Amino acid sequence: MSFLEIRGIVKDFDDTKVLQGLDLDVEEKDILVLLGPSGCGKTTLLRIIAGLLDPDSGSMTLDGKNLLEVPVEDRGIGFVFQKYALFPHMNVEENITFGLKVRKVGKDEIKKRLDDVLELVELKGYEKRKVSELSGGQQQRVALARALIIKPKLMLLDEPLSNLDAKLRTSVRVNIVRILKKLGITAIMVTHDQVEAMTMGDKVVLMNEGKISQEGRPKDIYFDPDNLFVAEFLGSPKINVLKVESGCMNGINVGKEMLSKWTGLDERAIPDGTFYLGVRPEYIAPADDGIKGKIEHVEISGADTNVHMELLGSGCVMRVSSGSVEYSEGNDVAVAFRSGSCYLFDSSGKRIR
Amino acid sequence: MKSRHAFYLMLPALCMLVLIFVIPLFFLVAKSFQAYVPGTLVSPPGFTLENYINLVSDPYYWSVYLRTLRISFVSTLVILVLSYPLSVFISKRKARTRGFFLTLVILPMIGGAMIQTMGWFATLMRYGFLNSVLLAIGLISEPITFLGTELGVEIGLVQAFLPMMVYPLTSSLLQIDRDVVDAARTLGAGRFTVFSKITFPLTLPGVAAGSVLVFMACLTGFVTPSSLGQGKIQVFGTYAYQQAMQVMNWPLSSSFSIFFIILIALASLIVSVVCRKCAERRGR
Repeated sequence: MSFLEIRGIVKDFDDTKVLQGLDLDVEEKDILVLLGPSGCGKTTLLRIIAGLLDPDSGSMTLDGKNLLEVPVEDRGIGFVFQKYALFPHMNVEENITFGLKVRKVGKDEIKKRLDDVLELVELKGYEKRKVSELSGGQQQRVALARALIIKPKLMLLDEPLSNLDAKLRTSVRVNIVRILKKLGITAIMVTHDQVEAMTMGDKVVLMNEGKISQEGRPKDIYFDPDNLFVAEFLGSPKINVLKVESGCMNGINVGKEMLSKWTGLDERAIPDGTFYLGVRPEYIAPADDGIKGKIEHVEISGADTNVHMELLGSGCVMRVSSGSVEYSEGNDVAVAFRSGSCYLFDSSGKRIR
Repeated sequence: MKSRHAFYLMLPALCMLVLIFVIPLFFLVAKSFQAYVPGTLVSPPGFTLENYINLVSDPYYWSVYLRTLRISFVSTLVILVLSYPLSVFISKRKARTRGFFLTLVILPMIGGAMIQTMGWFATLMRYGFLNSVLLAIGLISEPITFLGTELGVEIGLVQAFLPMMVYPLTSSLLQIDRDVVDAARTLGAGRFTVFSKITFPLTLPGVAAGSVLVFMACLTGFVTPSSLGQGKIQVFGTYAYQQAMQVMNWPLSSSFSIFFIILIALASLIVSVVCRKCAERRGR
């Protein structure tokens, strides 16, 4: 039995089906990341686990105990809100110790735990500050400390980095993982940012339209996507998807032999009818005897250069190291896919393995 | 150039203000330092502090001040207690329903004070609606005298000025971030603790603003105390009216008005200072 077991959670808002019978397992001390586009139901799920929303049906157990019978205030689940939701009329210390004071914890114990948690989030000396005087990063640490001090069985973090500037995000990311791992806290984090998900999660759950599209270790869902949605959601620039209809691409007859040669797949593995061919931009490389295309646009993003080109009647992106070869718009180019790097998806988007 | 245009545009309003506010206020101040001669509105020349000395030395005036303050205080408190749950209810509605309820709340004010007072008159009479109902259900055996008592005046004031509290309260409740309340819940606070530690402290500016508005309206109220008090309940408004319009003692009623203007200005100053301190603490 898993630490947190979620079975068949259904939640509708008026006519919108937000969660459609969702199952999820979280192992103890894991950081699980719920990833998905906005409106996929990930925040709703988080609020249901916290008890801030009631599901229409389904069951949840935490550490073997039925969660749905327990009111929010008794669940002992820490929640870090996207906009921190600090108490504006209290200072840093009052904010952090709130959860202990309402539990009537003794003064000495509060003092000790406050000191510990302040040290952990590196906010010593800020006790008497007003929360409005703090920077975004500091406010975020207060929110984290406030949830940590109650020694939660489970931590829920709703897009904890989305209100920080890009520079700060990387360091905060590392810090949150360090703290959670140090304390051995089981955590569920919601994000729409794939980099955050991949770097912070022990396990990533990709959600779409109230259902789980795929779950697994970050590298599994990136390198072994189950469906077109997962393949397209992860990776920047996005994976190239080429539609093949009865051996034709945009009216250009390619045939199984050519497809086999380009993808490195056995001719027998290539299906008839309509299917999709997916190849990530980093697995496309220039090759003299490759597929001919035309460069439409070149963007240098730093170490890498994204070459947008027209290939077999579709737009395609190739990602190469900057500076190696000069690419310029309007030029012809010949490219090849790295062998074994192509995914095939059937017409419904399911992976053909 | 731009600011000159703005000045010209302001001119009509400015003239109006000077004409109907500043000049009369000046006369009011001047009159309050003049002596009263019974039977005429004309005062002899000269400056006198007599009116103001009377105001602070005559025990009758003190009874008027205390009654005015007592009625205003009780009414404000009752309004606050009644408005809070109502405002919580309204603030939790969806935008459209909220608008509907807010309109309902303000509707009597649009009707004018006289109509409301007449309504209360019919309700609170010796054998009026309220007494009839209370007698019929056997809650009382003798009709209660409402008219001409402080209770009657307070009932009227509570109904008349309730909207002034509901609006600022609702607005300050709406400003509270839902997540802040949810955060308190996840941290272990039950509904009562959330209210006493989070919701109520965060609405204090609204409570203060509403209370000041209502309190001042009660202090200066005239229609309600004069009709529901039936001349038996002398408060600032009715007394100033009596002195000005019936006794024709304009100097006294002027000094009376100045005294209350200063009182109200002081009260609002104190409250605004307290509010600013509150806001600073909240970091607004």
